[in-house]
Amino acid sequence: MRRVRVSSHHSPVHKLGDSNMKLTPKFRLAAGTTSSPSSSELEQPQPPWETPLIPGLPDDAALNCLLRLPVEAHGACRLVCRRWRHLLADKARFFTQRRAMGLRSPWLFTLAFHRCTGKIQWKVLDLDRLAWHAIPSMPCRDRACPRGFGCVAGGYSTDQFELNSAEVLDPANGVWQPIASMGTNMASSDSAVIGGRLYVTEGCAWPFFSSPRGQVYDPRADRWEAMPAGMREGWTGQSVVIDGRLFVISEYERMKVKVYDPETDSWDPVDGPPMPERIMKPLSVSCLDSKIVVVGRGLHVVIGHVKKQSGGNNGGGGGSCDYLVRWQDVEVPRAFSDLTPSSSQILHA
Amino acid sequence: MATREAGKKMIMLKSPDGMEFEVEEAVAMESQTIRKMIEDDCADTAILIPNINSKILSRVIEYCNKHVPTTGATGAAASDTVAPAALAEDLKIWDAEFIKVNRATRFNLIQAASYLNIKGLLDLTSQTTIDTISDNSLEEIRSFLSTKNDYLPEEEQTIRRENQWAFQ
Repeated sequence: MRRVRVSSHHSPVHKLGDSNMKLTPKFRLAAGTTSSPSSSELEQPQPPWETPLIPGLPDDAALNCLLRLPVEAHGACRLVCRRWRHLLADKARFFTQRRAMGLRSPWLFTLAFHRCTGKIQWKVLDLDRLAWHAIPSMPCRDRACPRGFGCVAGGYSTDQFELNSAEVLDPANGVWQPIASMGTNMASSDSAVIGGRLYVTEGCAWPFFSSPRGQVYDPRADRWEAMPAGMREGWTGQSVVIDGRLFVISEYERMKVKVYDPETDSWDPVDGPPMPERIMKPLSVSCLDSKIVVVGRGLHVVIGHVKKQSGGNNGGGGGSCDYLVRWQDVEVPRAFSDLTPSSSQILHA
Repeated sequence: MATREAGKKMIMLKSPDGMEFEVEEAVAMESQTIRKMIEDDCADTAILIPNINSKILSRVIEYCNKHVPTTGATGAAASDTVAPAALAEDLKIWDAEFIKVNRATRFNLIQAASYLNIKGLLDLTSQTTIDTISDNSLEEIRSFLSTKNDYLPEEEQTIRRENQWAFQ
């Protein structure tokens, strides 16, 4: 698999926790393929413990249990005994061992800024338990520029920028390489990878003076081509790819999620209720398996469960749509009401 | 040992206390350990399962029986009418009942699942153990798992005050 990055600036992608981290232009990694690279710290040889982790269980079986402890319980459980503390006191070690055991669960990392102070911070949602967590604030003083404002002012500012270059990351050797130029300058607003091709759109932005431009990159031919007109016109929001199909969630109108039909170059509304009203723009959208995770103002989160409808047979010539979405609310702490999401990303750990 | 359905290979599992269990090969192969033995042709007709007594082994087989993927062997084959979601929901309810056992049995099941490498059963038993303790108080955890508090009183106080790094 290759990973394509579209960017106008050449600093490396920052890792979480990097002290120099700034609110860089939106980057997105292919869903499900990410895992935070752990520092390759060689475990200090720990003198063998005299007590078992859990009396009555061999240590490996006990470890397999304890590595499932939800992080909110770590504080209390560190007090159980010294050995537990050794396991739970260091998150890096805990999550490294989880990975070694093959335990993975999804976390939604949302970069948010405070409406009044502009202070940026990460909030983390445990998508298995639907519990929120805070991670230490970044030592970074930059304020975020609200994404919505750039558009309202009619221009493109900090995080929307014109570009014509693109690079590709080959994960095998970890090197970014430039790929063919798009041949036109574009403000990248959203992109998606479907069937091994990268689709980039400028996005529809208020005040809709011009219709958005869009390009498609085919890595096999190393060539860009124009995006089909219907796809380009209808790509009016943030996208996720589920089941090899492009779904778009719009923040400009209270409209249903829609799905792109490549055969007819048109968009179909997805069946089911519209997104709950308390989800207000700006939105940040990500995708976990067949679930759409939408974060709105105040870090309200809904999870849209997308299902293929059994009714529509394989043919499905027109008629009702093949997909159904059902929305699930996630409780949010009141303290988050002044936070606005800037971008979000699902990581597995 | 009566009539078997054609095409269904049976495997004999023996517990160290002398009990024998005849199970379908597909059921036995829910265990990756047994699967490997069968695939490597190490299993002729009977496999001795060390360390797992007949009581636990019968429960493990019960679990595997329930979780073996149905291949539509019965008349009412698993057709499109049975939504996979509903099936998964059924299994969840069944699992919840299955795991209502005392601590000793659950620990035995954990070890059996670990030895036989049955991921679903290991997940179920381990997760249940964690779920039962994660909402409990410190003392309840200690007594439930019979872990020993090896802190000095002042150490315990220090840790209580310790600056809690990430995820609070």
